[in-house]
Amino acid sequence: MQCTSCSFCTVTCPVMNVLLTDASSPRGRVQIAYGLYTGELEVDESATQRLYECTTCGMCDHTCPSGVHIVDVIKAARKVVYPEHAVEKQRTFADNITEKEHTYGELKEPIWAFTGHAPKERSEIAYFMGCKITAETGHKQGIAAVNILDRLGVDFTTLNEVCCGAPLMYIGVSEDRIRKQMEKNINEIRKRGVKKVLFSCPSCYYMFEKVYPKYTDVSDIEFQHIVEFLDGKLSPDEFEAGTEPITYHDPCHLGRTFNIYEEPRNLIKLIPDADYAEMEHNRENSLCCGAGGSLALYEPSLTKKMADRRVAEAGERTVVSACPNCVGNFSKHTNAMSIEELLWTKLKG
Amino acid sequence: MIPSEMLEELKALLGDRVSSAPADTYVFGFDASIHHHKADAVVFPESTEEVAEIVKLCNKYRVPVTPRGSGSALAGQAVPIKAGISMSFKRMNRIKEVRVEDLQVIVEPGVINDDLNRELAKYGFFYPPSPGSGKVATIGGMVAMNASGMRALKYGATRDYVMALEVVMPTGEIAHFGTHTIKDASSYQMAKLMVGSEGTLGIITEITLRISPLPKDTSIVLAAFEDARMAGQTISDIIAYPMIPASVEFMDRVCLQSVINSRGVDFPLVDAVVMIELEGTEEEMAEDLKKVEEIARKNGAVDIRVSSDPEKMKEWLEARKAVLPSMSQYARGKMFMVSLADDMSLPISKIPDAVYGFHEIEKRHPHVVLGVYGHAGDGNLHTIFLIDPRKEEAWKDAEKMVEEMYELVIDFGGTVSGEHGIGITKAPFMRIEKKDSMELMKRIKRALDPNDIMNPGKNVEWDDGILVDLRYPVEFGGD
Ligand SMILES: Cc1cc2nc3c(=O)[nH]c(=O)nc-3n(C[C@H](O)[C@H](O)[C@H](O)COP(=O)(O)OP(=O)(O)OC[C@H]3O[C@@H](n4cnc5c(N)ncnc54)[C@H](O)[C@@H]3O)c2cc1C
Ligand code: SF4
Ligand code: SF4
Repeated sequence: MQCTSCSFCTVTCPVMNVLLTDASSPRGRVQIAYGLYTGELEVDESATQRLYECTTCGMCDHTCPSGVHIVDVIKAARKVVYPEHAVEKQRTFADNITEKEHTYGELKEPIWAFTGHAPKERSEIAYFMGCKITAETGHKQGIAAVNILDRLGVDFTTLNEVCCGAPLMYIGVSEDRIRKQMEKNINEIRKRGVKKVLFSCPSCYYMFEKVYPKYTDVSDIEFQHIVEFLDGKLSPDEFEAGTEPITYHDPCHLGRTFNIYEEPRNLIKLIPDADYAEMEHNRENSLCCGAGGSLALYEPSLTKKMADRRVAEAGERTVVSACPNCVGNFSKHTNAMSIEELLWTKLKG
Repeated sequence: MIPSEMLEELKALLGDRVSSAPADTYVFGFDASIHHHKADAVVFPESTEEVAEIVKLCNKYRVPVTPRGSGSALAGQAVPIKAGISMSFKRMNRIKEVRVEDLQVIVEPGVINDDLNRELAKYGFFYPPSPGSGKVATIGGMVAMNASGMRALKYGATRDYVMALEVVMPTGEIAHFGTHTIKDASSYQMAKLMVGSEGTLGIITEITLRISPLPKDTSIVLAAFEDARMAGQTISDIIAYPMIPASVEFMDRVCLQSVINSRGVDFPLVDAVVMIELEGTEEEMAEDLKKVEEIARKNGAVDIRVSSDPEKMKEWLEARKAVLPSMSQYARGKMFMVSLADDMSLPISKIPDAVYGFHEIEKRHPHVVLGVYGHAGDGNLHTIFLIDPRKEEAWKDAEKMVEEMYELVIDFGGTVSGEHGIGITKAPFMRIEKKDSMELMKRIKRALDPNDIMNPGKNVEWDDGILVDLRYPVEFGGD
């Protein structure tokens, strides 16, 4: 009822702008959730489809003048449709996380192996890798991140981490399963005396900073995205000059949830003579890459169409981003790299 | 339910651009009004020919069809109240031709107002009617509603910009009304008849609009008052001076509080604010500015702020446009904005008395908090009702209040809608205001739409009250 049905959110939703139907707009999803709640709608394929056709990018929350927490409504409604109507891929994904301890199935090596940094018994700072880096992007982002931390002389540890639970939340799996992930991670962090955890993945960061505190008191631990941590710790004379033409894509959570817009740009601009330009939609108006909110599992063709729109904005420029999901998704369609990789390849020596 | 043969024929015509899925037909049952009614099917045509074929099918099977732009109508105009087909124009959204040398632009109906203005700005032109919903309103929806906004005082409403229309008539034939010339005295002004017809007389598939050069410079004055009547008086005095600013907007305390809550904008929190937008050369504006300040001070303004900084002006204008959807932020979680008596137009000189009168009426209705704002410079006020829509008594109280307010409007020589139209929610009051022309209007409807398929049951055809097919979880136990 907080929704005045003004329709303002319909024109900014990147999914609606591809599918061109009100039913797949934020307002439509809120109305479907309402219909399920009042019983006017039954849990069926059509309601499920519209609720999952969303990347949880938060553009609607940012647009809504009535202060409706649209993404929360969508996530809550997904819990209602998940048991009967989730697709096979979503179930496998969820089961991998909670049964095989890794989103992408059983791992042959410990999660930290490729970094060469085994977890230390005790350390004040930890680097939380996140499943996406460990599984998909050739680990480049993770390797670059630990290399930069090493170069800065940061005393940090890796972790025997498990999935943060974000995919479970997006898919609509019961909270119990998310809590179990949280308990494993928080126990691991506490066991090593960690006071501050750094993330490369904005979704992992979101879970620790915004979701875990709903379940347990984690106020003794600080969580921070790595771009925030690095901002101010490097200087231009440490970098080789010049880059290929690049642009920066604001990941949805890092931007609209945490307002982290300038830190990554500050870091990129440290590179003397960087050939940098903004895309038309940037900062709080940034367009979602299309991979978020478990959409890539549910409807990969829609993910591709959304990525295509964003890639068209980038033109010939390499897309730099601070999210392994975005980088992984863009890499399928254009040149893309993580900000950690960009910085590491440009650091002298 | 629509016949299954018809659905098959629609699928043969449109492929996957037709849906009868429950979630889809449910969503297309809403607009921004208080009403809801499920459609039977939703269609997404991509050409005039497809629209005509769909309308022919609707005639063949006697199935209602309701055109739809962005569904931002506030009085139920886009709700398929008799079910049938909801026809979305989201896929007909091309700007076809920009002809600045002929002062016109040709568009498909699904083009959004702000997108059109972004394109026209490249040529130094704009399409002046500027509804608060400009970022969502489609041109088709605006024409069908005769929409207007802040700038109507100086630039007029949509009606004043429609040069030519292509319309699929309710019987399926394609008609071209109006001309591509600035002047046109060739017979009945059929294009104007279509303007404001709310999708009840035909489906608009192409629109030729007149355009204007962008104004040179603008400034905004915010004048704050601790007495809303004196704010109203200031508006009348500015017009009578004489001066025709680009816009003169009014916001009362409830609206100011809501928009401050929602956007954190730096509006003063007072009984009422008048926002005056001036245009012209630097010298012209300096002179007007002086006069506006003088008039505001004479009427007891407690704070006057002036800006010609584009960023600041944008912030103020955007905040003003966000008043309506921000209203539920006034008493978060307890009272919610419902679209009742959302719009009325009055002789400009009656604004102070009307604002006062509305708040006097509000005092007799404990279940309603009332916000008043609007394009007061042209006599157009909007009122917003905050109620608890889960409670039957709140609705009954609000219904009574709407009646009293429109009675006052009609007594003052006003009209029940300045720009948001009639639809369902204002139809009972239009019946009172236009009692001697209702039958004639019904005859026009019957002549053009003999099978009564075109957005039927609304506007001149609505014969019920306002608390019908509500979208809120409330049960009425009877009187
Ligand atoms: C927050 C808010 C602020 C608003 N501010 C203003 C304002 O300042 N001024 C104003 O005038 N209005 C305002 N409105 C009302 C509304 O936005 C306008 O009437 C707008 O023009 C409707 O456009 P739409 O595309 O949403 O049309 P819809 O709501 O989809 O449809 C409106 C009517 O037009 C008909 N229609 C749509 N397309 C066609 C077509 N192609 N052919 C024939 N009929 C068609 C529909 O059947 C319906 O009857 C506001 C609404 C909101 C929610
Ligand atoms: S979160 Fe993004 S994709 Fe989902 S409804 Fe909102 S704007 Fe659309
Ligand atoms: S969710 Fe917000 S922006 Fe979207 S229709 Fe509702 S009130 Fe408007």
